[in-house]
Amino acid sequence: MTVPDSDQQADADGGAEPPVPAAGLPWFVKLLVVLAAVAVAFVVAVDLLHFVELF
Amino acid sequence: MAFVDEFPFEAKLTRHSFGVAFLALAIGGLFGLIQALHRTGAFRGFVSSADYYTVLTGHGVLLVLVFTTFFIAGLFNWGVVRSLDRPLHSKRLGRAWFYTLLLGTVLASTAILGGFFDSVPLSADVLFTFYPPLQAHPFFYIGAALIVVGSWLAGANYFLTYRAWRAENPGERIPLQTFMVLTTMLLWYLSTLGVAAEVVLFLIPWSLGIVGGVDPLLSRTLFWFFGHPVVYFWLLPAYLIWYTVLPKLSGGRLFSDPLARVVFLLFLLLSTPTGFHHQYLDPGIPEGFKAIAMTNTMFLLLPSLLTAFTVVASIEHGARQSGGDGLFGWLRALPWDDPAFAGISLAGLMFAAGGFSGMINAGMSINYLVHNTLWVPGHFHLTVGTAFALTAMAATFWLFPQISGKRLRLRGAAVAQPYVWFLGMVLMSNAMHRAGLAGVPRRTAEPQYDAFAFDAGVGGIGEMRAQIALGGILLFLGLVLFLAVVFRTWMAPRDEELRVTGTIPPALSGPENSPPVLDNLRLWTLVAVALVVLTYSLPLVSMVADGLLTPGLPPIPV
Repeated sequence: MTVPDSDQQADADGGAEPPVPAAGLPWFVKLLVVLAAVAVAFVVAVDLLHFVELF
Repeated sequence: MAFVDEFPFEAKLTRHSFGVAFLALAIGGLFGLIQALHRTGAFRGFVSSADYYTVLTGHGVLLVLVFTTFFIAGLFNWGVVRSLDRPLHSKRLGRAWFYTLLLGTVLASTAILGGFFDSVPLSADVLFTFYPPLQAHPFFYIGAALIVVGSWLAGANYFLTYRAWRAENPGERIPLQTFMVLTTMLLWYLSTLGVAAEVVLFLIPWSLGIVGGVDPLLSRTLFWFFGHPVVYFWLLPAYLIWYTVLPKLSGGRLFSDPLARVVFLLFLLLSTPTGFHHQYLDPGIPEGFKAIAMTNTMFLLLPSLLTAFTVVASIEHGARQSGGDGLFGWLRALPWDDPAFAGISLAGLMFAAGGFSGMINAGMSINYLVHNTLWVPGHFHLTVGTAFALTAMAATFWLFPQISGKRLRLRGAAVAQPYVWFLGMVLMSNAMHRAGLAGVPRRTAEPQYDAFAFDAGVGGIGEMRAQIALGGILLFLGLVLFLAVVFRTWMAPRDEELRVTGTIPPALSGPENSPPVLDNLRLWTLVAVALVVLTYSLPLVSMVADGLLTPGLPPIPV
């Protein structure tokens, strides 16, 4: 497989998005990310407990 | 130059298509909230339990037929025109598919919503899987047929546009987005033959009283001939976004164009001869053919796993280009504050979970454990309800500025939206899966669990219900955020400069690294048809052997 021109070249071709002024997550989105991580940990833990119970 | 300036008619058509899709999403989403609160007992004041099934039908039809079809038609419109860099072959055909779809939607929706009013002689409480013995008003079936015909007309325009491009570009490889659109539409043409036959030959005459009855098994079989591949009709447009837009949003490029083509061809070949896996509990279908359907379904895991590998490799490449390093440290270099990137990525992540529960559904023996339980809606809220819907919403954040010339408004709400949806779906879907394992049925307005003890390893019915209700509320909030962003953006004046470009950088490994036979769509269509004939011909013959309208002969043993 040959790797063609660099990504910088692709950017020069117009592939890259112009920069968006507001960089980084706002605080309320950071809170949502934490809540989502807690929710994922919770449901995985519950599912594992169910799974362990099967055996 | 923005897409809207280069192709104003096509941009307008896509915009209007999205507009109808999002209106259906709004109404269908509201119905979803009502359902979540009603069946969990959190609040039953919106509708009676009898009307719950009207709400359920509206939720299903408006979301998985209307929202999806309008959004996909608009998206494909953009994809074909952008990647071929030429206008649609026919503006008249463009208008024809849009208004055919719209007429079908109005007829079907009128029949469903008429069910709320005793004074209106219309009703269509037949759920999304509208096969007998439940019967709807003829408006519903005619509307459903028009939705399918409208999608066919849209596909004809894509093919005619491609043919015009091909005449000027002999020997060129089909641009990737157009290749994806054409293979998806071939899959769609093949699979919708089943539902078209069911509706036109049986359900419309039956609802009009022209025939006295229909063969339920034959109708169900024709429905599921379409009913599983329709899942890939929803999924493949999401794949189009994942393969062609997501790598760019991550700052990189698609890892392999040939692999993407192989994936779409595998879906074309294997999507339709799988429908029997929805009918494991139906008598009258030989077990051997059910096993073939299971095998084909399991084979479909291959293109999904190829997709997971290719897309993750592509965004990792983008993250490393942006300075990310380490085994997992590159994840931090991804643009998680870009609502389009975050939404599409989270949709892909949830699809992985949906794929695992889908394997349970597809397993002939273990399917009996979850059949017709709440597990099944738990599964498809991860697939069509997130892999497709969240991808569609997130892609809109990127695409809408290009088809309207307007910068995205309410950016804070847009950034929060995918995370709200993800959080809601984690809670709701997982609890639905668990409830299904506990035997809680789907499609039930008031499931009762007070009369017997439920001995769960952890938690209980009340806790699952609470998670489903909370998840449903969060999902509705996510929907409101999305609609507010789109509405505010749509109503805003045009901007001089946009913050997005429609240019998609070439893949790291381009189409020149794959054999040209991959682009031979006639060949692959013939193979797909042959697989369908092998899978369906004998069972269908046995069903119609003693007449089209009566139950068939005993199944042929295999």
